[in-house]
Amino acid sequence: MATVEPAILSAVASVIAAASGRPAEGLGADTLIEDLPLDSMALVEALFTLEERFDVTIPFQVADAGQGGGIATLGDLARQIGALRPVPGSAV
Amino acid sequence: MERVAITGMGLVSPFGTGVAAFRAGLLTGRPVRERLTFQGADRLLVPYGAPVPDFDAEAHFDAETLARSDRFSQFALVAGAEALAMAGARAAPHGAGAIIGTAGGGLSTTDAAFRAVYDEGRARVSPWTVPRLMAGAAAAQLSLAHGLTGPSFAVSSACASGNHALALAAQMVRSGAAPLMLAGGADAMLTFGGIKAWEGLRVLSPDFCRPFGPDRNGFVMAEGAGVFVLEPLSAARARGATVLAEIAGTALTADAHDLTAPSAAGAAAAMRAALRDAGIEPGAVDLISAHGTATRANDLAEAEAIAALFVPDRDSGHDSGHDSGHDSGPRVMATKSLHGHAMGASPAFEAAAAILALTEGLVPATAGVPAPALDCPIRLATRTETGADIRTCLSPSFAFGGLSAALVLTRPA
Repeated sequence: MATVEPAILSAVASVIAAASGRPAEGLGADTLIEDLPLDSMALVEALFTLEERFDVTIPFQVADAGQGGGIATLGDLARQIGALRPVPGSAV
Repeated sequence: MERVAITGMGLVSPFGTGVAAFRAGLLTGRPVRERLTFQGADRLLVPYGAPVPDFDAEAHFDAETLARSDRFSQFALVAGAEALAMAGARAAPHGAGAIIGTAGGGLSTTDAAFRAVYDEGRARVSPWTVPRLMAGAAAAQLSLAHGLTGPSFAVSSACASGNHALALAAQMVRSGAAPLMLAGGADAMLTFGGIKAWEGLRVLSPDFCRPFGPDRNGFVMAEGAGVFVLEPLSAARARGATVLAEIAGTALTADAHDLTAPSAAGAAAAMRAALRDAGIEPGAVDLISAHGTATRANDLAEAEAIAALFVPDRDSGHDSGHDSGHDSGPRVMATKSLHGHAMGASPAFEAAAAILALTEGLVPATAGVPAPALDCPIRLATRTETGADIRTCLSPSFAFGGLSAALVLTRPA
């Protein structure tokens, strides 16, 4: 499994923190999205913000967002973004 | 069969937000028209419209509703809240619904999303694009806001949409299919793409909307929403609600004649069917809240239909010239001369004007028309009256496609 890129995790934490009203310091790779005070709307908005920032399309469906969109932890999300991101020559 | 009462109305119009602003606008008699300033307005051939002034969405809605609703839904939500507050219906009964007519749906959202992907080359649009632009969004937002679990959807018949919604909702209340309905129209088409489309039809006035006038040259495009609370008259009286008007009759008809050319026979058929449904003779109609778009063809057909229906002996004698029909039949008011043409919301504005005529005798003058055209033999309101004795008002709408809907509104005995 791919490792979590710290820069991506940091961006994910900051976007999710803003969306959930929590300080980013308390959020890490193991934080479960379902444990955060995020309603489906806030999660969709956060995912959209991350898509725009990294120019990727995260595979989630708006109608599933209430169930976490199939993404368990912030680390999973960061790994997914890292894998989707077009990084030429990346050996990670 | 229940008699159908209107117990609340709410309006967001080019006169401002609220029924009071609408009433003041009709009384003032000054047509709304301003130069549009949104992105690309300099490329419009007719860069004028009648937008809702000072609509502060952020003052009305939380962040969630703001992000998930188009301007047309926001208009409907504000109008719906005013209507329910006026009705005094503390909680909508189980099975209440909402039917909101709209010609364009969430066109502001469509326009912005198209601009993003076509013009700016963006790869993706907001996840809320479809929930905002869908035609049923306004009805859905009203359902969410007020816990409406009954029949809730959009109807679309271009510029008659609001009347189709009101007629359908009235029929549901009348039959007992729903205990209370919110109904009306909402549109927000003052966007670059929206106006470009209407420019193509050559129906936008380069100056002012002068319905039934000799120099009429089209309408001023507007936006807004009007929403009404409909419930059984017996239920309204039982809970001590103020009844604004009764919907005594409705008709939904189609010309089956032409996609864009109006039909006098079709217009007359819609009005005649609404009167028949109400069990009211044409002679008992005091006032018509006309469709009156100020296009040459619509007003000609509408006036001919009114004359045929209400002054049937007009053609039997010799041609008496200018006065033929201008002094007989019911009064006709044409409020698009003031608020412009808000597409699917226009019928709701015209129903609201009808209600103000029934409740306080307000019949506004037709702005910019000192006397009707020779080819429009109708008794057009040319000076503003207050305190007129109006008991029965017919409010018809005639849309492109030949799709018509008409309401008979009365002061309940």
